[in-house]
Amino acid sequence: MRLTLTTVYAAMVALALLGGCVEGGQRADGDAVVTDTVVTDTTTGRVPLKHRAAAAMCDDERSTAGPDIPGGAGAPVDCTSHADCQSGDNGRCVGNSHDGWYCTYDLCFADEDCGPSPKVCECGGGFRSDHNVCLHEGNCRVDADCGASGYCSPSLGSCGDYTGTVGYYCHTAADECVDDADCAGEPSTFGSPYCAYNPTAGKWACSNQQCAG
Amino acid sequence: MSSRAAWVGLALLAACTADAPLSDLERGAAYVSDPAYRRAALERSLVAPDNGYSALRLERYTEASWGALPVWNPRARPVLVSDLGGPVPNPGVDWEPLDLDVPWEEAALSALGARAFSAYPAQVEPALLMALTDADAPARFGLWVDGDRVGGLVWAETPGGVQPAFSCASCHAIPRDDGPGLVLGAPNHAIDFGALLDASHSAHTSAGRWGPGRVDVTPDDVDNPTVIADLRAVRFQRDLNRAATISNDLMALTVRLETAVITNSREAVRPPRELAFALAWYLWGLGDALPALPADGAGAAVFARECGRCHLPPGLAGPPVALAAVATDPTVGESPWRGTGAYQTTSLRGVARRGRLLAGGAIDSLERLLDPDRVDGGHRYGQTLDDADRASLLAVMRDLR
Repeated sequence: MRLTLTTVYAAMVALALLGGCVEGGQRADGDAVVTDTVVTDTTTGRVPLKHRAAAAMCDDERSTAGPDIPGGAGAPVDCTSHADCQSGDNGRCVGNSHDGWYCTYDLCFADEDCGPSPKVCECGGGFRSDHNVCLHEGNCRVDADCGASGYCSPSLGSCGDYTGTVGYYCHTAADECVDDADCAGEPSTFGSPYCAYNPTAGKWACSNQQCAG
Repeated sequence: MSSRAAWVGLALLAACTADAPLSDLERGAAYVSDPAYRRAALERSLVAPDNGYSALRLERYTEASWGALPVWNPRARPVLVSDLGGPVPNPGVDWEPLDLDVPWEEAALSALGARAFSAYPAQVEPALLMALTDADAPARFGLWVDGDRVGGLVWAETPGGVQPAFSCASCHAIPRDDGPGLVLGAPNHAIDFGALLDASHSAHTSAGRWGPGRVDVTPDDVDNPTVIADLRAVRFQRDLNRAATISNDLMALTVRLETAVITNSREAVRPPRELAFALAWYLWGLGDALPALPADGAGAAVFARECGRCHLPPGLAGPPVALAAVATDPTVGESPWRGTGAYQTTSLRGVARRGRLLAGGAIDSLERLLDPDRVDGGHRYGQTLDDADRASLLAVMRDLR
């Protein structure tokens, strides 16, 4: 069931009361003065189940199990053992019969390893694996980036569960959902519907898009 | 009274007059203003109402559902070479939505469609940031650079900030091979959208195996990427989509473009209807520039004998062909989402500019298609020609660009 929204007017009032939910500065751009960051506020009063209160260092612990590549595998096989993966930190040969077997490495240990904000180092966030990866999409790193009482949450992308978290986005007063459970009952061709940030609409909304895999 | 309003009036008057067919512009005006007219256009066009593509549209192409979505025509500007390696820009005073206030006349609508083709943010895609990280990034993902424009990409102002977006030209334009500029409508068989998605998420998904020029657009839990279409020949296609999901005409194309923007946005927005029709009108006219098959000569005779049963002149397209008959990879045609049990008989007008042939793009050249030694890929037609006939046929087909 979809979350009922507050009105735009109520959101504006809330923003005024909170005073300064607009983070960052203002800069001149040609003849206009524009703000740098997104005005956000969750006026629903709900705390998302998943949100990033603070950045954390990622560990360098990775499973040493596998790979268990079945004989006659039809998918591409780029490696057959972890020892084949020596081109980065903590290399492991991972995969499955759909996507093939390939080397993965810890690509970061802290957000700063990925570049400037809002890029995030997602601990253990590798595609169907446990390596640390950089997420290049998003508009926040931590809750504080979203203003007072704001929340910065991980979002799936247009491929849904298949690709996992693609970036962190602020919740907004216009959100149509806060958690995946708010989208239960939405129609779906396969997989489960989920609450994700819609980059066109600029808000969180239920989605049922999935990709094969 | 605006010119469009006048056309709407004429369209309604004509509709009330028995046996009076509407002109194309009258039909466009009716599409813009009459929900029942556009709903009827949708219903007429769907060949297989029970597949996922059709069922979704039949359910939601109503005033209460998709018709109630906010209209998407944001302030925007093209992504430029000077943006590469820099931060996401803030909206400037020169950022404008597309000006839709144009006379309801053929030339004006075609011009609006042309502008929209390269400047309307048809699909917001944050992953595109990976293609803008440095001067070499666009080429890594098959995005063209023409003058100061990068890949037909657009910065679009959204309620959540500025996002990069594809325009139609990102996938449906290629650099000219005889000078600067673009061949608008031709398929960009270099663009590797799957590699872009993988790079953005540091992932290793099946999207990474689509390869250049192919995209899996169907939410059907099947790996079935489809080759990017040549839009220059859209007027000649009897059906749209490789699986021949849509029976084609100007209104069917208009609705198809409209619903593509809707689904690209995950059903968050819809395009202005004037823009959807202008785009369709513009695309409909691209076929004027495509060379036709010569009327006579050795190559034309071979074509008529070997190809003409399915690829009928003058459009060199035809009715759909059963999957078993053409014997190519059936995965796209069997899709629970778009499948109809048949494949589109794609127009061969412009075929020489296509880097990939057949629905899944399995064949990479005309020469390979007609190679008598080829055993994979299906579509065996033309493989038994002798050397002279093959050479004649290839000669005329190479001119279809």
